[in-house]
Amino acid sequence: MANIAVEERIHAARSGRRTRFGLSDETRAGWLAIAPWLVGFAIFTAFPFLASLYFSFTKYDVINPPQWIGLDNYQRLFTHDRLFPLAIRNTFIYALMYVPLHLVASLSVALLLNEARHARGVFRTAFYLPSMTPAVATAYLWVWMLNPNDGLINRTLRWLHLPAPAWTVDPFWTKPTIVISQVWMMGSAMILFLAALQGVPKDLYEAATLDGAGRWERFRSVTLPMISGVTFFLATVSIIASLNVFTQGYVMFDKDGGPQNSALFIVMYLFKRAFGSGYFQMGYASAIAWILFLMILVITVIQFRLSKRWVYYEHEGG
Amino acid sequence: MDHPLIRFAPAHARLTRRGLIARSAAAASTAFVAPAVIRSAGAQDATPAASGTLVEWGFGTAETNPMARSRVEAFQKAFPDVQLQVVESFDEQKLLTAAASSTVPDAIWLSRFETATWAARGVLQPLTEFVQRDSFDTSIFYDAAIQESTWNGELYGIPGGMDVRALFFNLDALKEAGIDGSSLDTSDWDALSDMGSKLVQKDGDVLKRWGFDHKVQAKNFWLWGNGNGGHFMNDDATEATFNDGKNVEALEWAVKAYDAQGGYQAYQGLATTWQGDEQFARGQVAITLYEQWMMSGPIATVAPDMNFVVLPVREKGSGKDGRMVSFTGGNSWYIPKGAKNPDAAWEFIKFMHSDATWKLGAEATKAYRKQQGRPYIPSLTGSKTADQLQIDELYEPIAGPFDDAVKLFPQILEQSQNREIGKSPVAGQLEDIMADTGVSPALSGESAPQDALDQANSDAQDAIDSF
Repeated sequence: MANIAVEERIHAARSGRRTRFGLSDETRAGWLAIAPWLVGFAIFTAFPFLASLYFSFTKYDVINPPQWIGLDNYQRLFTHDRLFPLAIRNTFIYALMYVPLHLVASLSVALLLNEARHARGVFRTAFYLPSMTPAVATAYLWVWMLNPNDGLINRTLRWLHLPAPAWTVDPFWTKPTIVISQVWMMGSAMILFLAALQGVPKDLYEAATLDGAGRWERFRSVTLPMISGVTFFLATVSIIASLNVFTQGYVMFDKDGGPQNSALFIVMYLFKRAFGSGYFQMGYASAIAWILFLMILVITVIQFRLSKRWVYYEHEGG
Repeated sequence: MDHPLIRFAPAHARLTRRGLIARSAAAASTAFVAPAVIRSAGAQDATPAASGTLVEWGFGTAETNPMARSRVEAFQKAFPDVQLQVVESFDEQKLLTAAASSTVPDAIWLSRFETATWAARGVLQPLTEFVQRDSFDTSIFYDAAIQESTWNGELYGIPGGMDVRALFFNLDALKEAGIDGSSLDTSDWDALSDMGSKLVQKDGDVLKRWGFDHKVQAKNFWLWGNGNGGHFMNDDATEATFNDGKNVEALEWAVKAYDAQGGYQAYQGLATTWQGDEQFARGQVAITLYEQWMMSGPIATVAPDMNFVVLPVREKGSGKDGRMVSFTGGNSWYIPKGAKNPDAAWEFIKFMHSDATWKLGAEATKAYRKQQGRPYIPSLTGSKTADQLQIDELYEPIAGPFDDAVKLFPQILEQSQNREIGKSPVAGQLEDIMADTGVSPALSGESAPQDALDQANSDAQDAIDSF
């Protein structure tokens, strides 16, 4: 009996028979299968997303009902708030330092590992390990390593008679401090680069060598184009991640923006406005979130546009 | 098996039967004899019998805190019809969402500094009615604690602990630097600053000891501003006066004091190596402003034989017997609006404040410390009578510096003030503004003290106006 029913359904689906809701059985089954995810998305992502847009036009402390204030929060952010432009500036400077360094460092390590003949697994694990370390633990580790007075790095620099920067307390050095600690956690990017490098067909290198290409030429004309897809992916996600930087700054500088607010990033500022004692400005924080979202959106769209000029996908032919 | 009467929320803090047996001897013995006595003392008049579930947030009852633990246990014995659930820790986000979703606890243990913050947003209920109904005597509390628990003329909280700030001097360090530690005048702020520069110690380029830490960067500027005769707000908390000339003068002094010792950046580099509030006990700072608990904690633990003295900050230029200056903080008990069992919460709060309950807690603490091989140092309870009771009946002299300081702290409390900004519903913002826009740029040399405080004042006024 059951088999007959199933066969009928398959037949109905194949013949495109529609139910009274205008959906084929197969389509309906598909919707049912993804329904849990859809419900979850609607409740936990779509609704809060839209709600935060609404709250961004209100004065709202969570406890009392929101009051509509139109564009006041946005206007205030750009005309009245001294810390918000600083937070944007800090975040972008951080991203400009972090993203290229992160990509270069992880690609360099991947290239070295790709060439390694012995103990490749050991090195791969060693370089990957930091990304398994919890972000908070990493932050504390680097606070100690880079302690200006007595940290391991400055001790070494002094021993070498080199200048020892005041990493965590000099506003000039706070962002590089966070960048160093983040670049150290390059494991995931390195693994992706390594996979991409191992996927480059050997015959391309052989052909290039026959044509007289040296090491650098092979890297520039074969390796880089062949891994450009992964590079683009990593560039995109690292830019998004760096504009959302929070944990390192929050932990390293004790929930504050560091010396002279030099490590006050957009998300940290948002968090402070939303949840800081005596703040509870959810409307204002929502406006910050939306501005950040729009900035990320614009940057990502630009990246996708520009990618057509330099990203090569093998299946597109060439 | 869990204790039948107390349910602690965090799994790690569950009170097991084995834990009960292993608990300090005095906590166990006193808990059996005292509840009946305390109940009569705590419940002063005929009040409705408390029963049902009582949910409390924020009161730490770990084994390492016998003062709290023994009192909570005693409450349960005295009120067997109340099922007490203690959620040891919570944060602002949790209280915020609880208030928004009407799932607040019955009692909360909260920093008094946040009284206006939560009361103005309608999260707390005034306790005036309970106080009047039971003729609850609030005169036993220090004025500063009661004032800080009050907002808009209504009492919202009952103080249950206090902290107070004073200057700690390492006398051996002073002697080494050729400074006479027997006649220190803490109203002579320039002398403090001079001592600081003499006491700094370096090993090559590496700073080993800071001389004098006034801690203005650690949200203590209020004390020095007040001590110089300055004010930070008007009485009804509607106008910021951060850039009051006296405050500017105090900040100029604070900047010079750090600069004379090597500057703020050098200080920060050293301070980031300090751990567990032990810098004074470990000789990493010679003179420091600090809360009283540094004595019962780090000093008693790390350096019980230390040669030190605790002196109050005195109003600038007022002389050796001039006005003591400090500000106090600490927690109070509150009942949130919408609490399901406010009567039981009130009984709990009253019970926790009777002298007999405090005595019970102090005895448990003393026994616990004895077990740990550490001296007993009285806690500051917020209640004048309970503080005195601990000194008179339980404290056993340890050594000169400890004995003098134990007597000194209640005297400072009698004259202490609160942070004036605590009266504002945006107190937390104002504190950040002073630290980030006022004090920090001045210390780092980014702005002149006058400019920094002008900017801070403008930001503070903006925060007040936009509430």
